[in-house]
Amino acid sequence: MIMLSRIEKLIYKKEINDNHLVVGEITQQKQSNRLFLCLFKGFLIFIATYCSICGLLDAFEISYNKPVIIIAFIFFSAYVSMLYYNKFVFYLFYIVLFLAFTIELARYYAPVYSGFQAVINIIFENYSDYFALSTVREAQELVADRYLTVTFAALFMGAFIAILLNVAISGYMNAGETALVTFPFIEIPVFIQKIPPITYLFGLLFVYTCIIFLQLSGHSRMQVKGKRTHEFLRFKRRKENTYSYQADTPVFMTSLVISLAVSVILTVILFIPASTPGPKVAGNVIRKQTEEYVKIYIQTGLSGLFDAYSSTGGLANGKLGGVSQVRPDFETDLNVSFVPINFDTVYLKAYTGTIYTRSEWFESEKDFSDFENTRDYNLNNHAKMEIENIDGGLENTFLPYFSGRKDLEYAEGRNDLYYVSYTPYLRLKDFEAPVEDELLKDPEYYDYVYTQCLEVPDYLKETLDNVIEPFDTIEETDVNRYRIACFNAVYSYFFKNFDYTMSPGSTPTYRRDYVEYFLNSQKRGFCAHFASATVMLLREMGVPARYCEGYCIPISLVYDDAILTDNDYSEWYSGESLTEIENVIKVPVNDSYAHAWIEIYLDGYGFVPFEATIPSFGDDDVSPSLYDFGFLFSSLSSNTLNYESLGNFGQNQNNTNFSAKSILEMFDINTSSVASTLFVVFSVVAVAFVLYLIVRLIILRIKLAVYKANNDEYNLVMYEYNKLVKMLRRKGFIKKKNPLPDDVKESYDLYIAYYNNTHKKKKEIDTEKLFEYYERIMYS
Amino acid sequence: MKINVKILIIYIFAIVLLSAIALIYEQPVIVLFILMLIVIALISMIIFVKVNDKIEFSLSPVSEYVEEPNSPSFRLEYKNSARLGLFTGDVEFSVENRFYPNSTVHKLSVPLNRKENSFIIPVESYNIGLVTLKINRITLFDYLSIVRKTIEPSFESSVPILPQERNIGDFPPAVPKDGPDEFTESENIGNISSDVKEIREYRPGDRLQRIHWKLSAKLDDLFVKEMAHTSTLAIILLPELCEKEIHATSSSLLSCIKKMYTQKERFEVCIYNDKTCDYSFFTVIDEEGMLEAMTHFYCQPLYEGRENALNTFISSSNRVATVVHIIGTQIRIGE
Repeated sequence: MIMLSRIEKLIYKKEINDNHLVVGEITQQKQSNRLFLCLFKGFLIFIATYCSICGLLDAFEISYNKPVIIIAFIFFSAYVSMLYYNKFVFYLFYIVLFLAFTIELARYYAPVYSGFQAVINIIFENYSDYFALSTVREAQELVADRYLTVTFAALFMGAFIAILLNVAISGYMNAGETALVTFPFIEIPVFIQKIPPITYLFGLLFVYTCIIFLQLSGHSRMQVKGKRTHEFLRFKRRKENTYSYQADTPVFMTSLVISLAVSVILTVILFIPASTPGPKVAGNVIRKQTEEYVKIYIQTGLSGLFDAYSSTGGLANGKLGGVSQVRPDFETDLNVSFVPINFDTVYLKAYTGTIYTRSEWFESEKDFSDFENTRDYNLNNHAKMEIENIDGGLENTFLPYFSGRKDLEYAEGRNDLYYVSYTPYLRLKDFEAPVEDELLKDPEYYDYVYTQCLEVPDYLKETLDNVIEPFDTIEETDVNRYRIACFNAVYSYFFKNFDYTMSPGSTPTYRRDYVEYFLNSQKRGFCAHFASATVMLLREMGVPARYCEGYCIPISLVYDDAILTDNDYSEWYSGESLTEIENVIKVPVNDSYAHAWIEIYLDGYGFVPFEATIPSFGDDDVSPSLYDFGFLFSSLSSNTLNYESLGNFGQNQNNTNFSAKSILEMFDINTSSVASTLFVVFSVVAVAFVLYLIVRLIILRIKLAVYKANNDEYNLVMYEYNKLVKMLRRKGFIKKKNPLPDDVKESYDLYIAYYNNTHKKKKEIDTEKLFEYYERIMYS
Repeated sequence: MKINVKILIIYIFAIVLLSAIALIYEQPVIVLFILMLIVIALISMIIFVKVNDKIEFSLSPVSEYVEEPNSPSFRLEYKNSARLGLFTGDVEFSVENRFYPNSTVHKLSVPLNRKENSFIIPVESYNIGLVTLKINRITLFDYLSIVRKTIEPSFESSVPILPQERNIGDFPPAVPKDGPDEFTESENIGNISSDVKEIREYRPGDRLQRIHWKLSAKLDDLFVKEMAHTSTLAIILLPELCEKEIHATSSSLLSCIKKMYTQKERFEVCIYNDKTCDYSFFTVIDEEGMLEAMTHFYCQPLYEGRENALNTFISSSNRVATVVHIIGTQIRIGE
């Protein structure tokens, strides 16, 4: 009599009832040796573990005790692979393994941790060298002897990888999972063109080939679950029973031979050309983007990859350091009509930051803009500008230099189109001549310029002083010339030592000051970084300065995208011009032209704009489509707490006018970006859910139709019965977990009685007969 | 040969993915892994083309019959005349008890990497009957399962499961022997024309002595002499294939047959087919004849009635014989 396990008998009970027979445990005449197969898998695990970990260490030329590692890896691999020998060994020795791993890790925590950090530090150093990063995060190593600690770390890492690979190889024989565990170890050095030695590549190639063969052969898995081990794995799929032979020795041996041959041939023929670094492909945007992420991770860690608020190219209104990358959407924000009179950038200011905190600029408590606008510049010209605010934020008013709110005139019936009368400046030289400053006679304004606009946080002074130390040689006696010279010195310093990038990574929140982090660690950044740092440095040098945000119109944009209008030139500009343009032009300004710059106070002329951002040398030549993609990815993380607002809220908690709006304001939610992304996500989830319900319903209907067509009384009754049980459970008439038909009948009687009491239309059901029928079919 | 589209798509996807990584990140090392995927696919297909027609399968029962409560087993064998084997082949088969037809399909995935090997497929039957295993289709795969070849052989093997014998008391019934019969007749009796009642076509189970060799030689077909007294002396076992009592009927029939041929009694087993309303007669003198009769009995359709075979026999047969009507545990004797 062929023995079947109890579970199998249960599974096949219906089949036995229907067919009066069942296929028993199939056997193969020439059986495979389970011990040999376990050891074979152990061999694959060893090769994969050894080649990945030692390949990584050798690629970075990290020294460690190789003989010890090899012996230990052989032991780990043999141990974990033997776990699949039988069920008893599996459960007992897995527990032993995890206990031993945890206890030993606790015992040798210091050297293991130090070794791990040493490896990370070495890798980061290499990455830093490759990407020419100024500084790099460095973790502390508790034990200094790297040879010892790296060996310890490799041992534990090897044990961990062996466990993972045992699941991937012995458990599932899955090439994808094996590659997922091992390939990153090779990819880390290969990414920066550090090719591991040939033996490791050969080993991995061999393992992958062998596992692909074994996986697709279908005869590589060994079952350990169940009461005892069967030669054939048994699956039941609807009307088909499948019996698949488990691991087969000849299949393993053939895979070994073919894999070995393929790996030897490929490695010998192709290693030399493959190990040569490939030529750099110009315009490979995906690689550039990945490299930006890698740089951010190397410098700032994972937190640097996430945005604290929206990272589109629009205005941040003084917020600093919260975005990993600037990702403009390249949609037109403003349409500006004016007459270009020189080749300088035209700035349209919307925001002025005077008070600096660790991660944000704030406007001064008192607004002096109207007062400043009373100044007579004596530039002997007058101009008019038309600004159509399409997507620049209607709360923002954009003003060119020099103008004020009183120069603003809105088009009739529109709040997004206005005209500004302004006095444009031709050249910087216009501001150099010393002029008596009438406005400074106002003590409040004087205080604003020479106190507020010179304020520097105390904790920042040391950093700033270190930077400006070499600038002490500036010998200008005239105050305005001195200030301009100071600015030039700072700009030159940045130009020589810093890089422009739109992907600098976000500033580590709470731990670091935005300017301090930029000056000491990051040394890469975009306009907000340069403008903020320049303002702080100038203030430390005694130059009143402030931070501005708005849009800029460089002359290149005028030449590339401007449209000539029919407007009369003389109405729009009167005065000297350095360009040959004698038309009023209209320029579409997209959000990539949102910008931050600085204003320096020049006595007699007021706050004059200066460009603090160094030019980009093409490293950030990223296409709009790529930004769109990145935007979608990052906007989910941008909906986070605005820490500064939270701080203010904490200080003003006695405010009785507290409202829900104030809470919302604490969160800097970019409603358009987050909402659109969330809308997409929720739509996809909702559609998927609805589709799931529809498909489920259709399958159910098809099933019922098939049951009816086949006159399958059993399944039809089971369906009806289960439906009834569900309904009774939903209505609270059944409390038991696994009710017997008698319980269901009793509950159904109760339900009908309840129903007939509460409804006019009575239900007349003979439950006795119905359940007799149910039971007859179900237990037949 | 057909292509397994799903595996091929996954395979191409892996190659494209690796190629994309190699190109985007400018890493020639990854080319090694891409080429590995291409090379092993080519090797796999070349080996498959060379090997796929060199593998031969055969199917046989492990034992000719089994007795209740034992279950039958079948042996599936393959022989590979090529140097290399294949990693896997799917054997699609169906197995059923003839009394209870079913449509369950079984798929056996076996490694084909040895020169020869065999697999024992046990069938645990919970009822008596003729268990038949039929191989419908064999699919061979290349090493990576990208290409497959399907062959449709017509292997079929059957094993009867005999019921346990039971005590049937005094049996067979006493039959008057008032003339010569095929056991007692001399060599010459059959040659006297008056002894011959009729000449009929040969039926399986007829004795060689009864063959009318002259006539058979003339007409090119076997003819048998029916003796004048034989039929009156014969015992015919007539089992009913009543669905509800099939197990007991089989047991009674087997017990009768065994007892009779052990005692060297003369008898025939008459098996009725309710669909065609036809009879088959089996003369049993040994175990081989018993198996033949029982196998034929197991192949007939079951019915609900209790006397279908008897009624049809009485109304249609003109033979005079002692009929032993078997249904369930009842064994009734009549003429």
